[in-house]
Amino acid sequence: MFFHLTLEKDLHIHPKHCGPNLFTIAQQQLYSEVEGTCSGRYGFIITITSVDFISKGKVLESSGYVVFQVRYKAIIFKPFKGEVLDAIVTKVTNLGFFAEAGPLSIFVSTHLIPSDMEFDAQSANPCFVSDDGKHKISKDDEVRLQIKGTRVDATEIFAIGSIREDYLGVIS
Amino acid sequence: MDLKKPGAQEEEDLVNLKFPSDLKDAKFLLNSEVAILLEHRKDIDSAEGIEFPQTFHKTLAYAEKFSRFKTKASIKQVRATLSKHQLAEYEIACLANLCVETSDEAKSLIPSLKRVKDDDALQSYLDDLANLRKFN
Repeated sequence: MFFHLTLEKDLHIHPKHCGPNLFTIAQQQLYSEVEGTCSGRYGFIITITSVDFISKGKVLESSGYVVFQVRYKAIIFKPFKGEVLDAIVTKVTNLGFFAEAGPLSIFVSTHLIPSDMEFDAQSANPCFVSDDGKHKISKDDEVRLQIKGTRVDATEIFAIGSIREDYLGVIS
Repeated sequence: MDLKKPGAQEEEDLVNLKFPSDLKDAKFLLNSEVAILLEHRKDIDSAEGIEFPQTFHKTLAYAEKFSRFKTKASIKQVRATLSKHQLAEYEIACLANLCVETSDEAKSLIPSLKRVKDDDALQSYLDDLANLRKFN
């Protein structure tokens, strides 16, 4: 799920930037330090929408760097356990398939795929096919899945999904 | 006494709509809103030749693909329609993103909706949503 959240950060600015463009440079630095990162606590920080400098700069006597406290609003993506979302299949293997929802990659193992669907090893592009042949999951298909669990590192989030429940599976 | 492991993460509980305290001020967004916001940002900054991280492009593609409402006006209408009925923000965003058709499906996909006892009322919200999608 995407959300909008206010976050804070201490921004360290190199003394060579202290000049008329200080705030522009500081802002650019914040963008490049924060956007595209992922923290286990908040999720993927996709983009910053507004920036506020809430303190005066403080010079660190040891290094000469200036520290600003900034408060910024960002668009964040975080998977929640039990959430249902749509994703795009990126890779199908005999153990299950991988899907992507924006920045997040999700693995759906064969145990969490309905038991009437089987991996088709014969076909040219690997896929899961249901017994009656009506449903098929292959690369680039859209699937609706439920997040069963997440593994959260300091810099990465990885999710396990399921399409075993009612109303989940390929979106027609 | 409740002892907490240091550094342990609070877990969310979607059945009771409990989120970690870090996220208590979070405002949930529809995929459609994300698509519009990112597109806007891209328009402004790509003129200056700023490179975006890979997650930005991936998210933009994803949000556009699964954006159910294309215009700002229709998103406003969706929010207005759904916020009339005691639904949490998270539920509003889920309903609008998934575009479910029946109340049974909604309750199965969004567990917290099980507290809504009146199936007919829930069904009528979903029909309103479907109409908004059709006519925008």
